Amino acid sequence: MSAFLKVEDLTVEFTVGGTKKAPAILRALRAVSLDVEKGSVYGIVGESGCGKSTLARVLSGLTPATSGNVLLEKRPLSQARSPAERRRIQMVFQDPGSSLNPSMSVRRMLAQLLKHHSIVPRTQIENRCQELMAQVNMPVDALGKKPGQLSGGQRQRIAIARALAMAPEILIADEPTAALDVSVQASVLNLMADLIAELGMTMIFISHDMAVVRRVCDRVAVMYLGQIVESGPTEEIFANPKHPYTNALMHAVPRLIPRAADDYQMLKAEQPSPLAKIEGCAFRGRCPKAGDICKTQDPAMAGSAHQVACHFPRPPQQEGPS
Amino acid sequence: MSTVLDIHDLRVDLAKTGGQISPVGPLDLTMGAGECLGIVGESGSGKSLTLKAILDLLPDGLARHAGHQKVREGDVLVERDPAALRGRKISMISQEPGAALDPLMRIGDLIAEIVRQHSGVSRSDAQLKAIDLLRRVGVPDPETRARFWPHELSGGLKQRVVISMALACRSEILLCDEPTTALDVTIQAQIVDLLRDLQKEEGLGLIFVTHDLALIRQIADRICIMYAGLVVESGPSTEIFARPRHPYTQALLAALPDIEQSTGRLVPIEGTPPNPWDFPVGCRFAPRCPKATDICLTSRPELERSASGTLTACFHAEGGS
Amino acid sequence: MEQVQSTKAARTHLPGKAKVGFAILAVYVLLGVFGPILLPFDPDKANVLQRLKPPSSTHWLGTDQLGRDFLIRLLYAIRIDIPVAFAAAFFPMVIGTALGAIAGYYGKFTDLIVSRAADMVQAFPVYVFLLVLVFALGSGATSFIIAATAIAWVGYARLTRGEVLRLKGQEFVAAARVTGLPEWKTLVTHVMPNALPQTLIYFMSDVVLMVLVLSSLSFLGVGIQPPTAEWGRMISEGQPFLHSHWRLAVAPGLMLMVFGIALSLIADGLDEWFRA
Repeated sequence: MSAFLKVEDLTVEFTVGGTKKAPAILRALRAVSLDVEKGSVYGIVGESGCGKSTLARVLSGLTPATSGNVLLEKRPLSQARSPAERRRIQMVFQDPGSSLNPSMSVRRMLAQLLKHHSIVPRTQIENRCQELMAQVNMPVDALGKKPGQLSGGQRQRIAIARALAMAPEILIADEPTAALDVSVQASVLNLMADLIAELGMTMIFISHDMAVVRRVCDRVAVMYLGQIVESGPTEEIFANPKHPYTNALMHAVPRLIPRAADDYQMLKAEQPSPLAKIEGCAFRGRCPKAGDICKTQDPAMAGSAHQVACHFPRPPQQEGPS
Repeated sequence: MSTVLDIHDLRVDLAKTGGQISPVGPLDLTMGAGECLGIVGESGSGKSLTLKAILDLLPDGLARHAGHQKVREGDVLVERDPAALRGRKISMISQEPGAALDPLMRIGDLIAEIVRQHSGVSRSDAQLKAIDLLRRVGVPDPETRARFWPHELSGGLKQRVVISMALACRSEILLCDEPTTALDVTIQAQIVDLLRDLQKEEGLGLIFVTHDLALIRQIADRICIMYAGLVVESGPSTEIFARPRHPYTQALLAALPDIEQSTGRLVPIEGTPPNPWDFPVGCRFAPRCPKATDICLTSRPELERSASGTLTACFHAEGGS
Repeated sequence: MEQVQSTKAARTHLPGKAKVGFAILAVYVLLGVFGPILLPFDPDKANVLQRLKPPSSTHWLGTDQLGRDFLIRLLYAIRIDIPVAFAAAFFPMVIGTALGAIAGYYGKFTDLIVSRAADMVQAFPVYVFLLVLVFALGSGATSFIIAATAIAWVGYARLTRGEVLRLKGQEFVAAARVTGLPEWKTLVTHVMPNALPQTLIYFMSDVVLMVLVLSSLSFLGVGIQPPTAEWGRMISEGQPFLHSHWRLAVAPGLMLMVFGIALSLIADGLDEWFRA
């Protein structure tokens, strides 16, 4: 399997205080590896502090990695991205309210990018702007407006248009609908699904909303405290979560139709601090199945298509829940 | 089930306009003992303002009016001033638990202070009661945690502390303004579990406001769906989800990505909700409603009871009344 | 999550108070430009025989202690005070804003240098510093402007640095970087337009301050030299006559005060306008 985008042992650590001899280190990402196939939608789920946003920032070139590699078509991307490298990977941010410059009209913003990267000749800029509006189902007169004059859903479409302006090969969506109402979320998600189908783009979809991820993504990786604990095809993960944390996540999400009972026990306690040095498995403090080995050995990812990092993964359920 | 709260004709006005522009209302709210009433709506529906209006905790520039607001005392329903209810009969928790915690007081002291205010026991007894309350709300190792400062607590723990403060007031009703929106889903599950436990064991009544339909399904016995400041549909939770009669409720459910389903296109609701100064004459949802006809544009539908017990405000509600 | 939004009108129309402020400013400018043309008196030439005359049909506000027409001196003072004050606020604004922006955006070394320089300037008591500079540079409008620039840039630098730091963390700046825009372009086209409103408001207040400082210095005997008409100077010269001819000290004081109020109204109005 030739991976289009490959992440190898990516580690990101921040020093957030402490002393010179004993610095307080925040491990945002701990040796994360994943493969993304061309044209697929790869979902990353997890709760706050799991590192998914940091992963997005490293992939989009905003945050440098402490160690590890990001490879695009087998060639590593440099820390300081070149303009050509930047064009290939674009990002849609979470909050449409702050991800658009409040003092710039949509037209100016798009024109600036098209001009800077010489994507189309000068004479074609206005045309391309109008094309982009059509692509995101926005009226042409939106070009003359400033973000403050647009609704949340409209702003997010503009944010998508901005990402598309550079015709990227990979789109990273960092919680693109988290700040939107349900009714608006639906239209933005439909738009993204359409664009993926039309443009054959590869997408990395980061979200804490499991329901959305299930609809949109081909593969999913579940993150906890800076590590990937489980990954595999979406249906597999949702039907047969192997990691106790994945199972807990599935159960914790409120559903319209209540779930059938199974071996789920609600997670006690809370996440440990990401500053703490962890011996063994990071999840053992909350895990209903933790054993002695979990205290000393950090489990490695095992499996082929459906991988899990756990010493006591759940066996496949007979009458699989959902 | 006996009614413990009865509010009629609640309205929130923009004070400057002297009653001309009302972001919320008029609407009625009633609640039975130990019940969980859910209020669901998207942003701009007025759900948070409604909750704040019950205790008259509105921001500057907004004024509250009500036909009557009665609570149960003993055997009768008595008209009571909102200010008199605060922190006694009715408490409130909100999305930002940190805001309710004095950063300069240890949490044990904070709770003990409330205990003393409401039951005049000695300082040491109040401290013990505080630890007791922390245990009741599921704070692990409460003796140690009571010495913590608010900033040392996680979001989930802070919310538990705020809930324990409401218990310390011996409130009968807890108003919950999106208390879990800012929390992780596994922590949300814990808090929801705690609230339901309190509802069952202590008979605590809940009015729970959220935008999350699936969440309200889990926690509420009865639901009100709000749109543009009005209640458009209300009734038993199971009934509303099984047979939604108002087009807005139906549209919301069609737009919702349920975790059970992996396919099928989501149906968005075109357009945006109106601003309070642009509220249409007639049905406020009509401009976006697939079933709207002429009458919907000129007159506002009233809530009407259906055979199954739900109230719906629509001229074209399914199932008739 | 929910807010009752302010009406759109709040953002598109300048608040009334700002309009009043601009109107007053306009009156001053008109008086300053046309007044001296319409009144045929020489503001500097002394005429001792005519000294301290009360208001009459020839001299609408009478004459001052050296027999010069009082009204014309008030109007000529506008030509000194207003342009000089604006200039004394303008140059610090340009230099301070630029330095603050670079320090805030690029941080580290540039920030270190600019911030330490700002600290050093601020460590001196303002008036002492100003007086020293003015003594060194000589009196008159130009030296005042140079001296003011050397000191006042700090305020703008700190303000802009703060705004830039705040804006730097906003997602739209990160978005601009992701799209491959070079840092300097991001700073100039994305960050600065959002940082400037605060600077503008500060500028208005700063002009008021500069007028007061200029007047104070002239009152003290440095700054603008006689016989040039300037409000502070005129207040100082009118001081001995407070009991007999109080208009000589009070009138320039009033002109100063109304001018200050006008600019404050503009600053407040702009602040409201930008906040909406």
